[in-house]
Amino acid sequence: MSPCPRAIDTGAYVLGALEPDEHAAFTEHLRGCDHCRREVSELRVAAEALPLTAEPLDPPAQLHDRIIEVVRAEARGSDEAARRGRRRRAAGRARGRRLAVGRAPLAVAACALLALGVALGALVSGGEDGGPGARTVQADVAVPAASGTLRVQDDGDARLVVRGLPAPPAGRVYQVWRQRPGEDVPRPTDALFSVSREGTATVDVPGGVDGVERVLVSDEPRRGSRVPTGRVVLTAAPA
Amino acid sequence: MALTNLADEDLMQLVRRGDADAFEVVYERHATVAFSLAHRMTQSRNAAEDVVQEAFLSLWRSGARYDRARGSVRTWILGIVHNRAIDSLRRSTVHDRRRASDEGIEERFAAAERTDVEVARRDEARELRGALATLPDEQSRVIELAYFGGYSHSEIASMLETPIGTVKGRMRLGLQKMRGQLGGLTAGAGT
Repeated sequence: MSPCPRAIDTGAYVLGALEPDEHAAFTEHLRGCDHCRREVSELRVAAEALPLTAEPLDPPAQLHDRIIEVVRAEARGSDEAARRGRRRRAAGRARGRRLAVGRAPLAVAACALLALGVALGALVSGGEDGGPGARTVQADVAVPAASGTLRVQDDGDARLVVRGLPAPPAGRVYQVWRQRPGEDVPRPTDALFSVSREGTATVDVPGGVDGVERVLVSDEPRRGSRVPTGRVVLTAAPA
Repeated sequence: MALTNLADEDLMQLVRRGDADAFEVVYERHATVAFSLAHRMTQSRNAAEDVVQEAFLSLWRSGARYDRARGSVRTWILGIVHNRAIDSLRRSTVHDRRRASDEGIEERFAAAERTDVEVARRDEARELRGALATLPDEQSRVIELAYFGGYSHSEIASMLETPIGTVKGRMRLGLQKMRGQLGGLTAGAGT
């Protein structure tokens, strides 16, 4: 016989099967009961092995790409935020645009949430896209039924919005390129992205589009390329 | 030293500092077991993808919360996945859970045995499943309903038309037996 009448709860406790108030009460009980604490510690070993009994299934490659795209964008976030802030201050323009605090600026946070399939229209639009100097350029998209627009601000900042674009091939991501007049080969940007299940994505064009003749998007290896190697799926002429 | 040679705990220190490459190694190391657990719980490929995505992005954004004194990185990640999957289950009805089941997914997406590590993990899973399978049905059933189904003891008692005390007792006895059978396996499972 167990020396503690409440030891009957140890199994349900480690499985998370007690009701919330019972769970809290049993946690409190553990503070003063060596027997139950030892038993919980033993049973937890078995409970922690349970997830490993699931039949191993490979996650899809696109899941990897979606997650890593968001993480890399957020890792770039602080530098990007600082760079944007400096540029805006130098230009002396105050458009009411707020950079997010911490690791991820608004654009990156928006990108992350879009990758999660969350509709963020209200968050990423508002005064920003509707600024007095903003204009929209329709992109040529090489995929039937897909569309893309480039929103260009008066200071040259630009944001690409795509809809209906298929996910890039397995193990690859989309990369944004900029090409200036007279350049034979477009220059890479560090904007790498995938699309939501609905084929949507919103991505800022790093460096903006001042003096840029064309903005392109192609599929590339997941860390990006120095020169385009994949199919160009979108072209936009911001001028 | 290459990132892939670092232990999980060392990688997590880099993740905490915002190192995306270290995060990618952590993801690649644990994505299969995380996705497998999420799919086992949600019975839906789409829901499992959402769960794993939420869990890993949460890990990336809260890496500072990992405390190596409280267990391995794998256990921590699986705990996050488990909690997210329960949230997902609670957002859906029991009917929806069953309707959303992806019949045959195990064959279509079964993890390929590409490396020795994966072979070892598959063997480990097989042995652990064996330990679970040796329990009397009434014990394994309540454990699976609680852990993979996210049901409370009172919900299980109601579903099985069994007294709550009996359900709790079966959970406890089942886990005790499983713990006894794990023996040497537990080092790999829990650390």
